[in-house]
Amino acid sequence: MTTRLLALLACLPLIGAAQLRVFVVDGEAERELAAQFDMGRADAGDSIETRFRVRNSGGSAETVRILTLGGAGFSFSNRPSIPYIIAPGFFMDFRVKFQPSGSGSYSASLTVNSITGILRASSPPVLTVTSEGVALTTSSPLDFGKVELGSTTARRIAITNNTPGTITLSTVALSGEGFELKTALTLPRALQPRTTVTLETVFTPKVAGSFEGKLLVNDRLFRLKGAAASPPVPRATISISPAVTSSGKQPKVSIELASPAAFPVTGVLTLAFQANGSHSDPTILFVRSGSKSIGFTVAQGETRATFSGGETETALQTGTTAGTITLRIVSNSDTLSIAIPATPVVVDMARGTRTSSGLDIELTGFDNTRSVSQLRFQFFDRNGRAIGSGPVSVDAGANFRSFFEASALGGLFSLRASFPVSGDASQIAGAEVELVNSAGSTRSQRIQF
Amino acid sequence: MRKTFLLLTLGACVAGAQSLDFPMLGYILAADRVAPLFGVAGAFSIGEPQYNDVLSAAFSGRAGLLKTSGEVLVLDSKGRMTASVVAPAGPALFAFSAQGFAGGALFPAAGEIYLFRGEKVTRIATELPAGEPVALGISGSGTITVLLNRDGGLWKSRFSIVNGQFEISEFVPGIQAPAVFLPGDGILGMSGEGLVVLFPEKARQQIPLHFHPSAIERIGSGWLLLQADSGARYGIRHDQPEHLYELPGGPQ
Repeated sequence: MTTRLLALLACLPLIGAAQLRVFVVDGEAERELAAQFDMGRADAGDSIETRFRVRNSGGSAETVRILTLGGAGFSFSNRPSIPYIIAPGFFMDFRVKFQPSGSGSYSASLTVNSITGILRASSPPVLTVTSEGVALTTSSPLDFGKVELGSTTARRIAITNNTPGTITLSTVALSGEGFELKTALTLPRALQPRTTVTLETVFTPKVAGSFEGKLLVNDRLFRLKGAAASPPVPRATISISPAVTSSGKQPKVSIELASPAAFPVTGVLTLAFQANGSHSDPTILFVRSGSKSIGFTVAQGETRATFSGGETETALQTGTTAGTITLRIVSNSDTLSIAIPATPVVVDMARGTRTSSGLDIELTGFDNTRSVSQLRFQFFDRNGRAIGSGPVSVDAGANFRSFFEASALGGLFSLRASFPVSGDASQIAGAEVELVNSAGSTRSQRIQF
Repeated sequence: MRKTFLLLTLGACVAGAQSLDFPMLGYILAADRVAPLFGVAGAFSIGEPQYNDVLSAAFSGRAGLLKTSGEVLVLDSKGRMTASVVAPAGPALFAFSAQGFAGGALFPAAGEIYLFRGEKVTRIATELPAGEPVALGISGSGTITVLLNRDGGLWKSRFSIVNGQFEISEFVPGIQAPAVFLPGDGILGMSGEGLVVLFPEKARQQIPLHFHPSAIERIGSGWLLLQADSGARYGIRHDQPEHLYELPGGPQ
């Protein structure tokens, strides 16, 4: 029947609307649809697709009112809504999919308005490959799923001859990291109709990540995929050295598992900071990563975590704000809380300079309470004797409060204080500065002018 | 004495006698970007990068010098560009005056020296002595000096502005590259045991270090950066090189 229909149609000229023409699109190339078009071959269960284009080559708009496809194994994979108006010089695309259910020759009639063509395709006799009753195709991978490291997942694969004739199974090969064929086969082997060979396959990943494999059955290549997740980080102890710390320090943090890692462990250590006030402090961070989290690994059989750079300790910067730093291992919730006590102001650098009008004192440091209230400047003469009956006191509370409210750098500050001198300033050889905050007072080292 | 004390008291009471700001340690070059470094010893914070495509950089605290592909940029203490000068291709070594102002630049690939005197720039083409230039310095007396790595040792060679060439080369014993000049005619470099600090008329200072840096750079007033092969960056002070601090890393 099919052959006679084809012969009849082949004798007829393609009759269509004067302005509409149908083309087969292959990449950038277009060729006009002839009376017959061979879409190629596809194995049973697989599919192939062809793109068609209806062009309006006339000078006025044309409407596609008929778009039909008749024939087993053929279907539209994206059919435009009809009627479809095509402006002059423009086109409309659609795709036809051929997906055979079994071996043999196939044909279908494609009609666009008054244009009709015959589509042909074939499916050679092949072995049917299934897993858990579902036929595998070369276009969609067999998924072994996501497994935890150290676990194995198995898939049973059946190769069946569903054709009426004998087919030789000559090649069965499985490749890909983590994938393994457990069944030993003697090949080649003649498979009689309705006979099946069963394969046992397993996926056993050695490291975390995504994996792909390949299964070759004769000349058909099937893709495999699987993923491996790290198991939760085993129970661990987070340590800090020195154990007692304070602001402005860089103590070392380490992680020790309770028992040797059964598999390579990958984890993340994070820190959170709760200030005694409502301040944030960007200077509290893991120094190596420059952020509030850092990755680590533990090699199989080891207990000590390794951080970036291959070191078993990593520096934590305690910042310049009093509060509590909490270190936490993501995924197992082991934590370590580190109290950062409120302290008097810490002076990091003190410098004095003579200016044309007097003396300048520059101090840098931090106040982890952000509560500096008083500054007391004591000047000394060349003999080291204090000048005057006591220090010069300055109420600095408002200035510091205003500065810290606008600051995004914790308790850090740089202070410059200027002292006009109209007498013999050379008599003044040094100074000491006392800074008072809510935790007490601190005195700078002797500043030399 | 009484008069001086009274004046001091008066001065301290003047409103606005104190000014507060963020403590700026300097600027650091990471990859090809230059970013400000805030903080104090042990509590650092890196700001947003301000210059891109930078090949070489050095900062004294009072001034900065950057080498891009085709220019030298002169910066002030706040990182603002105050001048730019067309320069030969390739990286550069920089030197500052004793007061911390832009002093000189050496372009090893081109064999050129730029001398900065205020807004004036003098360009001198010269022939470099044998060896790999590792540091450029200006002594307290104003002499331009280059440190050269030759046969695993360091040599100091002085540049004569009169003759336009390097003249005397002198071996610096017991010190290796990388190295930098320090204010006060000192040199900080490496030995097999760690850091070495040399100053004229002073005893050699040796500080153990657990790694051999691939580079030492001057990044600000009193601060040097030591670059480790692991990618870690450390900061030390000129005057307290025994205290080593790790500088924040991560994306810049």
